[in-house]
Amino acid sequence: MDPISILVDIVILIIILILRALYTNWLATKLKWVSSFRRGFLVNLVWIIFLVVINLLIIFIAPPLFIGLSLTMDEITSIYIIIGFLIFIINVILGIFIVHSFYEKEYWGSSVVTIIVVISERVIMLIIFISIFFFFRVIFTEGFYLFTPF
Amino acid sequence: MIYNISDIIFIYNTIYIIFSYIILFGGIFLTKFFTDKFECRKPYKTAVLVNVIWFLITFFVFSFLSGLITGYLITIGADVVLISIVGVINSVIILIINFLVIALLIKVFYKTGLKDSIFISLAVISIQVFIRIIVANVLNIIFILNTGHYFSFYVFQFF
Repeated sequence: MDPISILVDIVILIIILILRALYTNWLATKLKWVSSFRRGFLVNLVWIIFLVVINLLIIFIAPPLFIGLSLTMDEITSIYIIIGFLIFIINVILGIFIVHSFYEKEYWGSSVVTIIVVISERVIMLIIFISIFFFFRVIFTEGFYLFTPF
Repeated sequence: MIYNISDIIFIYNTIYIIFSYIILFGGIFLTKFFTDKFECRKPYKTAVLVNVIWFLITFFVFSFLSGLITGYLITIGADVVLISIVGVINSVIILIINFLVIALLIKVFYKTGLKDSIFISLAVISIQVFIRIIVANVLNIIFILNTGHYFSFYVFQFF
């Protein structure tokens, strides 16, 4: 692992964490929940720690497993697509439980907040991805490890 | 009967488009649900009206413009990568405009505050995108299991 990539990853993670905390706080306020930046920050901190752990497990477990099974590139790509979808679902379920437990509110509200956060993040990531590709002709996830699943 | 890959893609795409329309008009129930939660109790007729106007704008204005741009790029013989990037940019811009249009429609029809209508619009669009991602991914997994290849049904499917 390249130390610069890890450093950039950590800086990006902190920025994402702060933005997510502000956004979650705003969404919770709109639902008339008792909320603060601190609570939004804690929700997202726990959420991101879980996601990073899951992602790191996949990064370290999957490649040796694929080599051991001597899979073709097409098979590996297909498996990664399925894993990506599973992470997406796990991300949403985790988010619902974390938001529910920190705000102690009903599940429909927690689901709405989680889905809005996850989808908004996806759209913003896609915009960043396209912009970087459009202006620099590079795919930004290359070399970034922790940042990939968000 | 043996189908080739383009036939299979066509069948899957058709299934996805049918689901997309169901999800799109599911927006009626979502609009009703969220406006009720924000205590703007109005009959289903208003939710239907908001969603039909939204659909007409999307279908006749945005889809037309998007098709026009893609058609122009194909006519001038643009690079395939450029066409696909422009397609993705179009989808993102359309999503953002959709979000603004529905926020405006909710503000006008339900007479809510701007921030509340933005929240309702965010909730409706996010849930629709979320269901679309799930449908696209499930179809893609079935497609992978049947053919061994993968296919992108929706812009936000893999991100």
